[in-house]
Amino acid sequence: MELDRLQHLAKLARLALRDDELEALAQHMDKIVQAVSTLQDINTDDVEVFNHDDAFAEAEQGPRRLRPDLVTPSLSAEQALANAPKQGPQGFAVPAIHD
Amino acid sequence: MTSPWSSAFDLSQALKSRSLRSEQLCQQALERVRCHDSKIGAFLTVDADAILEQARAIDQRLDAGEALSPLAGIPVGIKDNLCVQGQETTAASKILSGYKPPYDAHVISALREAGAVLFGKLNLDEFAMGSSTENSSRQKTHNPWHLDYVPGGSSGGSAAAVAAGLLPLTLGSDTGGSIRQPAGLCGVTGLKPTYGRVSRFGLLAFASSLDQIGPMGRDARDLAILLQAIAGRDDRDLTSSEEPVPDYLGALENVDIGSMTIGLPTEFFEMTLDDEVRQTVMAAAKHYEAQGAKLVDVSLSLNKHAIACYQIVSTAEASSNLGRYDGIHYGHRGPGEDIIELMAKSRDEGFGDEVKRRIMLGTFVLSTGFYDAYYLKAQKVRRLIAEEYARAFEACDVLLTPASPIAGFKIGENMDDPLTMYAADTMTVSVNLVGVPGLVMPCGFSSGGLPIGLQLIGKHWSEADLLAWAWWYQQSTDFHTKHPEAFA
Amino acid sequence: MTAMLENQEMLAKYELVVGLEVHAQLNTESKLFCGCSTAFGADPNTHVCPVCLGHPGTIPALNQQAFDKILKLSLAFACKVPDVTYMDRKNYYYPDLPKNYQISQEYDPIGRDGEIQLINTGKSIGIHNVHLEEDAGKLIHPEGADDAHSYVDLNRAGTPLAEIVTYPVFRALDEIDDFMESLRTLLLYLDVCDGRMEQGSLRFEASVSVREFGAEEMGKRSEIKNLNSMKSVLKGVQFEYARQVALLESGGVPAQETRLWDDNFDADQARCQQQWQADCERPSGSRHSESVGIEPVMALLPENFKGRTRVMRSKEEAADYRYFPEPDLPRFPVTAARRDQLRAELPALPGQLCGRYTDPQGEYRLKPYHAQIIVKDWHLQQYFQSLIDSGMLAKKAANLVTNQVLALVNDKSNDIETATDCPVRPVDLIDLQRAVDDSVVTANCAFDKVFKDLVKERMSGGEASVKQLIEKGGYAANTDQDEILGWVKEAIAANEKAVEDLKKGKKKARGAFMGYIMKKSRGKAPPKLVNQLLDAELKPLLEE
Repeated sequence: MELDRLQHLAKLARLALRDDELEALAQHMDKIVQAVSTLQDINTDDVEVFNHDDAFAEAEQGPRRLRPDLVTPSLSAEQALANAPKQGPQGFAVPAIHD
Repeated sequence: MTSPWSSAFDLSQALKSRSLRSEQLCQQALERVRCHDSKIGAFLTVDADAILEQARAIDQRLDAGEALSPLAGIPVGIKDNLCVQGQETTAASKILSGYKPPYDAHVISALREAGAVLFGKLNLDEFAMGSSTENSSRQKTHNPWHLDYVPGGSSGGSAAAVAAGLLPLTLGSDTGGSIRQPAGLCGVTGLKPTYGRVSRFGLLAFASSLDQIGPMGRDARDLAILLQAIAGRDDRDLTSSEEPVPDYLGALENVDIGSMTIGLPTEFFEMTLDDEVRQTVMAAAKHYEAQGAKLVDVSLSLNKHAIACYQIVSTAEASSNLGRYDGIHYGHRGPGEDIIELMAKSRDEGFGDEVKRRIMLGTFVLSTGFYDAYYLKAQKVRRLIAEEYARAFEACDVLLTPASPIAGFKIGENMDDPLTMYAADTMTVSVNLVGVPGLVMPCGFSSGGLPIGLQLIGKHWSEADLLAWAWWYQQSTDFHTKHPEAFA
Repeated sequence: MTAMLENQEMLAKYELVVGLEVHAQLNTESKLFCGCSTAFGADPNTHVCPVCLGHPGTIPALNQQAFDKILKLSLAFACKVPDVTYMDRKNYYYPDLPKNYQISQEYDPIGRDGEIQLINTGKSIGIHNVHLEEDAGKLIHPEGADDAHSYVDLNRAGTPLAEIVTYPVFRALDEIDDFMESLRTLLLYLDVCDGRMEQGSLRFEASVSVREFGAEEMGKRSEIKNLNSMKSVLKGVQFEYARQVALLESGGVPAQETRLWDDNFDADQARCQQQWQADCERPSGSRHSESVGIEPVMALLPENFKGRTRVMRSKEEAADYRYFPEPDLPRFPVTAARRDQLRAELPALPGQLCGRYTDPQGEYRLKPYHAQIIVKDWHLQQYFQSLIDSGMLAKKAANLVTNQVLALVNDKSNDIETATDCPVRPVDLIDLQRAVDDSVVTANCAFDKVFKDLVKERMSGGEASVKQLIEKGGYAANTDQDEILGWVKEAIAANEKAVEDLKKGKKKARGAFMGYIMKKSRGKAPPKLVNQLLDAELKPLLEE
């Protein structure tokens, strides 16, 4: 796989990959993409995609039960920010963003 | 003094009769962990004080004669990709070091409800991505049967803890075989329930349409007890089903092997398969046949595409599920002058190689120009695989296969060859793609003394049958009662 | 003069093409996927939980009410609704998006190919699609340059949104204006959104392109964000049109890009001119073909035009959102029965109501002018309806809401923004009308003085009844026949010219007597009684 495609993918995936990582990945991606490309040989004309809820769509007659619109207790700001690597009184701190 | 090899069922009886106290049981377990886990490396965290406190609270309730579930007072180990409120939960990833969830996973609430003692967090491949528990950022876990060998993965810690007699029961999670493959390699019993049987709320997602939490333990009866506590609809996970939950323990006795038709998928036995494994698993099939079960050959010809299909679907979902780990709201934060650099460095430093490989593949198969050819194609092939399973189940009640093509591999053996590592899941992945339940239990040993696992695959929602068929087998054999000499 | 003419010709050459993308916050109690409150204005990060913070292991649980509301909206647009719908994930990294993907709908939106009728012109505007999605949080940029950080507040994260996308059918500003008002009104009628732009519950983005009249091909479009009022939408489009025309005329080519509306820009200020220049010269904006000086743009805009659009920096790289179906949620069937049921439950919408109110055979028989005013404003319509429901005659109710109530709403010196905020309640007006009907007070006095007192009373939280206020203000009608007769006689004596005019058939002349008597009685003489007495007194004079 070409380096610029890999770099583009890394950018999309927000991974600051080092050069040695990119090199190793290039080889791996080639192999794995080749391996998974074997699916192209299977005829899937007129085949619908799989749905992970197919099995219980059959089991459950009637409409699916969703969440009723009720307010439940929230966390406190202190609890919400407890795991934040950096925070301020107005929330999670990030490097200044200008737009 | 109870044996470290006692079943949870027997422990439960003793606790109920008050001939055993939970505190005593947990002390013994803690002692064994102290004594043996340095060799095995199953546990990431064990908080003795918190464990004993829970045990004493349950003892009080049992003393007061409260009618509690069979799990009451039993220590249960937790795979470290399940959230326990206020207790570090990392999925064995550096990116979550120090992360303490503000909530309990559904299965954790269910265990608390049942009075089980939450006994420490168990090692796994980072974010459950792996088949050997070598991808943990924290430590490697060793197979109690042979310390040079891997315990399998990704629930390697959960399997090894049971196999070494540290705990009677543990929770694992299974996305492509992560409960069943290590259960096979460690000689314990493990069940991946039907997709939607157990709420995933609080399970750190790897691949949402494949992930399922399940029990691991000494035998099918113990699994029935643990599954009973965690199965059922949870309103916080709309992919958990409203399908009624049967009485698993009660169903164990209602078994008629004579009316059972067992399907042997020919392709599973024809692929590259260790001879010992083939013979041992076939012997188990004959054991059922001897009791009157009918053996039939069925064809699952598309299974050879299951790994490819799984690689695409699971990495696509993972690339998105793992997007949230960016150093902003929790977990590891790397250096960065601007927000883009900060996120990208946090992720590069925080994730291990295998996780990055999968994120990159997943990003690729979803990206513009490749979505149709890879992701959509895989989801169509997935339907074809599911349809093939449905046809197979017209001819039989259950499928019987090996749990793994080989009886084991050494630590480090496959680390440089991800593709060979992926092949370790070849017996198990299609079950996740289709969403049906699969149970693995020991059915013999290799000449090298490693356990060999047998897999039973059932129809949707057939956990009660799988447990009953497995329990019958275990009552008429003794493979599940064997344990490694080194830990006797 | 010639320059102006040239500019006119320039503008006449190019057609404006606009499509709108609308985000309407669905007015549910709790968020789209968790039980956190959607209430506006809480302290940062206090309406959050593990789910909307995007914590590891959390799973979205779809809000039934949000689903019903989006379904209702797409049925009101007469959209095609699929039998089964599902959510998709839109993957991109931004710190206000805690999961770094937004749960939205891409492949099978809940509504496709609908339309909305504009209230003023009756024209139909095509809706490309309607779909459900979650909102992001907010970035807070502290004032003062010392702090090198921005802060993330996730209270808004996970609030349910309807995204409504129109076809690029707008060719003129007044049509855009009409659409925005009509849509806002529709959302209020359907009770799916509170329409408060100032709180961000209703947000518009415009995609703007220009092309020479007659051209088939569309120009490259820019999307304008940060349009926080209807006025800024119109100004933003106007600016963008001028900018693109100026650019094309200078030999440049517009780029497909995201731009931000900036209200504070003043082209007359040197600082702003420098900003503009600097933006044009930034690495990505520097391609000459995409930039143009500010003077030729301003020359195409009205004098003293304030504000501008500028390229949004963070959106410069080409996006690849890698949409795929949300695997944490099942699919959601929408059965024909459910669709029919919701369709039947849709409330009457402005167009239908207007017809109903003006039907000459109907129970309301309002003047079209009144009916228009009432249906255009949902709050006013609700107020009107509650008066009717309490038994007031339609014409009287229409008079009251289009005069007294609307005047209060339009009065900028008070805090009353809608008829719903009106402190005088429908029940007060019913009492007031009854007092008039019972001749306790004259209509003039009631709807002027007593009404004003009522407003004051209610705004200060007072609960005095209409009757008490009439007494307190001494507004009770004067029913002393002798006194009134005296004034009648005085009025006739003092207005000889009016008597003469009446004799000539000038009926309007009567007003002079009435004015005199009302002044004398300080508005408290009941007109009915005055008229009777006046008729009796005038009769012999007119028969002379």
